[in-house]
Amino acid sequence: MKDKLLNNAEITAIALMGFVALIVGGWSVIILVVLVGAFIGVSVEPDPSGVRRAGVSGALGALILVIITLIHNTLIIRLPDQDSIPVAAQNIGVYLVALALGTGVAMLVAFLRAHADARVRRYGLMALMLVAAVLFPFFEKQSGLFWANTVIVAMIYSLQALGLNIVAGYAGMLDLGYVAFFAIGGYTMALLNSPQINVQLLFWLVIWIAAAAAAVFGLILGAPVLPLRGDYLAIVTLGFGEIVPIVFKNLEAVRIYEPVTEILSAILRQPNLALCLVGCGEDPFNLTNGTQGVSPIGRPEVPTGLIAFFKNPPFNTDLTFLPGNYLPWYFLILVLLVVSIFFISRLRQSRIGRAWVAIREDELAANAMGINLVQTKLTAFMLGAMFSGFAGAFYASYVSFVSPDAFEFSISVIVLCMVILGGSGSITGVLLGAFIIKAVDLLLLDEFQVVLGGLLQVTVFRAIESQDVRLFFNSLLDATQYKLLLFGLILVLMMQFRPQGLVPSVAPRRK
Amino acid sequence: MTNSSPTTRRVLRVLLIVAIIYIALLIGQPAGLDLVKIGDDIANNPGSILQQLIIGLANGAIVTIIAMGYTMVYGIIELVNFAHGEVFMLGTFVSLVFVALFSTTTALGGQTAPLWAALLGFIPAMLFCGLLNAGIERAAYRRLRTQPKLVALISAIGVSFILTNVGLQLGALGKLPAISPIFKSLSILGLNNAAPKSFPVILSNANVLGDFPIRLTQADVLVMVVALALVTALTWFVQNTKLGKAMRATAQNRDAAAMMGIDVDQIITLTFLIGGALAGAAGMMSGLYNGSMVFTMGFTAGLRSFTAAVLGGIGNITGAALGGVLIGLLAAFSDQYLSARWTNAWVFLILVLVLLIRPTGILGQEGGEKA
Repeated sequence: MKDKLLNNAEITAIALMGFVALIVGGWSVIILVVLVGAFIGVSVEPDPSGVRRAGVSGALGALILVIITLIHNTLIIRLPDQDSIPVAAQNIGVYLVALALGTGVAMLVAFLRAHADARVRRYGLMALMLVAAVLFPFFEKQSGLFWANTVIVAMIYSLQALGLNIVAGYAGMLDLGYVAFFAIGGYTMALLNSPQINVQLLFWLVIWIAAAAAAVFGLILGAPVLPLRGDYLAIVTLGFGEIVPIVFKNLEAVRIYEPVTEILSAILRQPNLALCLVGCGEDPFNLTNGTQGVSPIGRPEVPTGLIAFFKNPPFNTDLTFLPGNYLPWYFLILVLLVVSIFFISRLRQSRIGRAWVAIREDELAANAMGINLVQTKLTAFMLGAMFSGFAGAFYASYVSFVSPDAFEFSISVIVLCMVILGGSGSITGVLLGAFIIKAVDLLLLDEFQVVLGGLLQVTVFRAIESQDVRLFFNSLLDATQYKLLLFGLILVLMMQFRPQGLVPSVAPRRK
Repeated sequence: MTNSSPTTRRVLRVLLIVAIIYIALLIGQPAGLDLVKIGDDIANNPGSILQQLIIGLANGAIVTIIAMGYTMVYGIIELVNFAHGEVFMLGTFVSLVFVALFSTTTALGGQTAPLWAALLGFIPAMLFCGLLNAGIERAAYRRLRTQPKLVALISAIGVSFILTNVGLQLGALGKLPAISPIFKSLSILGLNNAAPKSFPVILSNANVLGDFPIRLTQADVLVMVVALALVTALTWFVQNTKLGKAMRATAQNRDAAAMMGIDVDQIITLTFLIGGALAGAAGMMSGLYNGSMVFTMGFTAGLRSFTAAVLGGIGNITGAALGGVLIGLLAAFSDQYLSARWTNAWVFLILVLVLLIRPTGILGQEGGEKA
């Protein structure tokens, strides 16, 4: 393997990033070379020769991406109906920077991994990733790539995927109704921080209440299903996951009487006898506003002094949480995510984390070794629900709107897809899966459709005169309409050919 | 509590049940569980109970036929074939396209088709869905048979997503009639891929019972008769033919069956073929009965039918029939007396409760006869 300039995994990574470069072009090359560089840096041998190879391979990978970006910037951009590329992005300097960045990142990552000091090996990469994560939004803002929303949503889903990873990846319980906890978190935020029922608490308080509410429901729903076998547990959780949105959808006209007095009043024909408990006014109580959903939901509050401080030089940054002002949202979810990753990775190493994996591998043996099955499984369920609750609460505040349609079964499957694609039981894998799926879902399919539509217009459609035939093919070949198919294919193919995921979990699984 | 006498325990138990009923009546009110309202409804129109019975039986007939596919597949390879509901959805689609070939426009502008077209349409729908289901097994499940159960289940979820998407994009065929008059009949699909599609009117909506206050339509009779015929034929096939015997043997013990010279792969393919064909038949029945289809219908129909299969005892054909009828009745009565918007929640609640309290269902017994 050492003789090869690029190994198979690296070629695959470059090809995938190259495809993104081909359909997006412009400034995206800077981000893509960093990703490819990091990948090469991770995949080489952790020794001095590896650092050298990382330099050469990184340069080669960056060169390929630059060439592909050139193809986009010069050829694809001329297709009809393409998004324009900023002039600054087509500067020769950008390409040179991209080359240097790709090479540099690859070498730096390889260097950190090959470092003699264990602490550098351990924390160097994390620090590097944090630096990249902090720099990203500023670069994104300047570049006009419009990737911030996608990245924020990807981080919200990462939080969910990390939670599901505890339940499904560590403890081995397939939860198909995971969206229920996302919904509970979201609706808790919606009800306690909006004009809907006239309760407007602080975001910073409600997000904890929401997580706690989700965790409590995790306990309530988790307790009865624990004795069930794998597929029965999956179906029961699916049932719960379906019931929760139906409940939110239909709690728009609630009026509850005390049952005994109500029945008595009906028998004695004395309407006044019925004791009304909830929604007794002229109109019944409207808790969730039905299918129309709840809005507007309050956003995180920032002290005015802090906003004023950051508004002035040298920061010149608006920290107010507003739609379209992505910076504060980005950093808030980043902090949430980083803290969660830290928490979960420590948890995985702890006694309870090892107990989860023991249960997944062999429940009977784990029990015989003195692991309390009920307690261990319930903790997994509760923690998984809690992270989903956090994600739901943040999501509700971020989009300032929740409705039952946002919590369909497909969300559960998409989160499952992230865990499966990335690697069940592996934190890195799950994060990777979440970012890939959400990037495809919100960004790449749309970009691909723009390029595909342009290509069709200059090739096939030029030969087709009839407007009707064009309409038919446009409808049939609309890439954005094939999301479900794509996620379904990912599930089927991963199960067939790589059930351990793209980044398998490190702990050896014994047969 | 360990020292309490049997009487005390009995009293406590009764108290617990009373408490559960009281709480259910209290928090069930928004979901339509309101005894006074239900009592009023029944008192005002006692005949509607019989009416709901008919509707429930007809709905249950369709649920039963779909549930057969779940129960047979689960009986033989212990897989919840999540894609089964979507196979049913595509069966409805095929039925719709086939019936549309013979449809004519009425004086009022609606579409109508003769009954023989619908009856003939059972053949392509069953053939298509049978082959599709067998193909799915070959492509997505066979390699995973030795893996843990959840692996195949996840693969099945993937297949169900793929088929839902196919169902959505098949709607694009509705744009073909604008291109050439050959495709004229496809205009029934409309121009919006995702929109629900209406079937041509095939059966008259008139009451078979004449002036009797309770309605029994031709569609009611037809779906019940077809369902009865299919269940009878299937039971006969499984009980009395050599292949049926091989299926039962494979369900009971795959390895032993293989040692007795049964081609297990072939039997499993056959099971999927029959299950799929039944889903196709249910597709045509649903088209005739409900008169419309939409690409998302597979999920709910699939879950309802799966609930029926579990309720009756999964792996048991008679159980699936019983469960189907019960779920059909539950849905009809919930639509009428509780609240139509909560019907799915009630069905899912039944699913959850059955799996929690009696996972073997009504007729199932551990280690008993399967398939």
